[in-house]
Amino acid sequence: MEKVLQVDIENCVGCRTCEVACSLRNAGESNPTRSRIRIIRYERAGKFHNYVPMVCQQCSDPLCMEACPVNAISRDQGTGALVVDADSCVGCKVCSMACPIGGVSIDPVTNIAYKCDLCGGDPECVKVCDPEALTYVPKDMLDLTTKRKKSQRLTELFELMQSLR
Amino acid sequence: MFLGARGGNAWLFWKHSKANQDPYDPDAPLILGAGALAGTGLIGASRMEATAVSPAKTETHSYGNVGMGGSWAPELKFAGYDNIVIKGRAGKPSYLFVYNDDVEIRDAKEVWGRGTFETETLIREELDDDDVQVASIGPAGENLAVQATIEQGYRSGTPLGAAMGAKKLKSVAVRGTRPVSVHDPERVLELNRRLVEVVKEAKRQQGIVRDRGTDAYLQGFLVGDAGVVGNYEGHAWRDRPDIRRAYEESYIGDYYEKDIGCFGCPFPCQPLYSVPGVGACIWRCYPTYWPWKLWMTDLMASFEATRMMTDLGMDNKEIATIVSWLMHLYSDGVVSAEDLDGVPFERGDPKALFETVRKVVYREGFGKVLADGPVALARKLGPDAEKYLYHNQGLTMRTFEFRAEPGTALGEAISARGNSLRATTYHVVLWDKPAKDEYMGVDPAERDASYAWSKRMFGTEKAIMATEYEGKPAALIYEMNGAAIADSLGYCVSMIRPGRRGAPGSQFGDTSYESAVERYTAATGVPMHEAGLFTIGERICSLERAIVVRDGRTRKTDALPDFFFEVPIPDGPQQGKRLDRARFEGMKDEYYALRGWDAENGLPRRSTLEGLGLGEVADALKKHKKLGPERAEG
Repeated sequence: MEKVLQVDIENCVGCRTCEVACSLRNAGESNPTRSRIRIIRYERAGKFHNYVPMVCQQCSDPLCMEACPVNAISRDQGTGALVVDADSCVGCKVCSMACPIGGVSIDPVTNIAYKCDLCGGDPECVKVCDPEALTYVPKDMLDLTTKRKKSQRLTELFELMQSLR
Repeated sequence: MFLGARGGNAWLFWKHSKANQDPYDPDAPLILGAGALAGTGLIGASRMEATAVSPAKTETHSYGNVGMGGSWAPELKFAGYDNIVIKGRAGKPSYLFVYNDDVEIRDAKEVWGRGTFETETLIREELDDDDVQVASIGPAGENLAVQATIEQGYRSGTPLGAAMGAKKLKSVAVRGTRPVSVHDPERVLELNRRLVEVVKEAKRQQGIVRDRGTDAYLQGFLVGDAGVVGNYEGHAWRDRPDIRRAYEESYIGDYYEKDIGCFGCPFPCQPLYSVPGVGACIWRCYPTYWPWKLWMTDLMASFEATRMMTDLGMDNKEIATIVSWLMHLYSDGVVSAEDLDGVPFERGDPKALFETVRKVVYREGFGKVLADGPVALARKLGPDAEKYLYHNQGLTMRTFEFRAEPGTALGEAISARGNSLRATTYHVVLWDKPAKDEYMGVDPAERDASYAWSKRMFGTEKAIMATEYEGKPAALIYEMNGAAIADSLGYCVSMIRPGRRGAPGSQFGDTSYESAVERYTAATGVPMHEAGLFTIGERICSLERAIVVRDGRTRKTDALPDFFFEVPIPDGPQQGKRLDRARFEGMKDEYYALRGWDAENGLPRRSTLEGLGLGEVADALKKHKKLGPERAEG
């Protein structure tokens, strides 16, 4: 079964260990700027600390692939990931314009498009995400953990209602 | 030679500071450094260190340092720097912005006078980048209160905010977008993966779940005997049902949001609480020590005070200890409300705390004197008030029960910084508490392994028993050198715990120095071994000693107030204990001998310094007439 990178925003603690893991693996250096996953911070010290992991969601109908004028983006049949062919890419940035979530960018060093390729089916970020904001799950299990978590709250609510009856 | 944060800073401080320098001398250096391994991607190595002439050590102005976690240190690395030295004084309130090669001194008029929370937000808005990391002072630092802190991340150490305020420097904001090159990226990834697996397994075994809703640390500190009640007036936690209930029930737990932590560490340890009408703040560990110094059972007020002090840039430990002293004076009738601007210092009353904070931060009434340190206020209040104030060079004595813990007492008296937590780490000297058996259940096999380790390392099992004297100097040196290494690499103490392999409490698997060496080499490619790291630790501690003896420290001032030798613990499991002066001085003899310092004055010898490659430090000490005499031949 094909797997997908599942993001649970509520679990993210904003530590950016994923950024480091990604850049070490894919750029060979520690450099969040070149990480294919980025943690967007919503911090207002003294009020709230929220974090959102932003990473390519490997769209079913990928605008980046459609937009690419040199057909450098294709889908890997094994992993389902959209991958950039570094030899074909000319660095025109059209893919990053087309992407609705900022999932593909231009590498500041190589000047060609770079994006999450699921590390060939073994995503490095997931392995260090102890809070489980990132998990790698079979496609037919997507969001099941979220459903389970949310259902727990409903259960608690039912119990509360029953106790009030 | 020195490594990254604490070591690098100490060397830069030595080069840039003068003997007995006034902390407010524009020429006095303020040094901010990133851990050597910060930004390499190694989990748990994101700490920074700030170093300056300590304003709070009012009796001997000298070296002060503070370590902080968070995301500032890696950001500095990504900008391309290890350490920053700041000298001079701005003509008007300013902040420093470091963005890769661009370093800019910017106008701080929009943020001057504001709290540290708002300052961070406003600076990020002004620079239009939420990834900028900001270390700031609050109004306390601006107004040169010696208890003022530099706020960024999660801190531990002596307050240095006034040293920054004297430079009219509100914040140091950093942003970096460049790489930290790593020698063996695959190895670093592997070490990180393995660590996450170990932690997952440990959590599974120990049944630790996320979303716990209450602060386990708070519960943990309740069971230890480290906390004292009042101004070293009481000790018996378990005999105070009201306090015990307040902490065990931890009713503020309802407002627990989540844990957050440092850059590059997926094991966040800082519980964030958010209380409607108050706001959010991290509330952990040390802050939970201090309310009972004030006899306070009102956790909500404690939380509010913590948040307020973090925002104002004020050291809650210093202030709490000062308030506990004033409450003691008040309850014994040494002072009255009239002496303190009409504020009654009733035990347990949060109002006294809030009033003191406000008055110190804005230098009003008695706060005007107190902002220059508790010793200044004690002198004004008279000799009786002075007698009740237990301080170390002007820094308050924190919450440890020194009377029952000779090793902690020695660390407090001797550490260059002036207070012992983190300067010594605290694991070896503290872990073996009788209370822990009762509450946490120590595995006898693990305990025996730790005793065997102690015997092998320090020649006696007693070296790791909290209440013993024997073996303590050697254990303390190991601890202090180890802490210097961790602080220099930027490592969190959870990740390096000397001698804790297999010892109870560690979820982090192999936290030995061998494993630190492995990580260091993977990241840097520099061949290293444990003994080599310890030589660096020894060098840092000796350099710090050279700095403080240059500024006047001697054997005589490596001391604790008479109180800890004279007045026995009134209650609790360690009832009746007090420090034995002869044995305490004996520990000092042994400590100096092991360090290669002279016994008479505690001054480092030339041979010792040269052995560590610090010949030029020996030359300088000679000029200051602070070099220890060599031992006579034979």
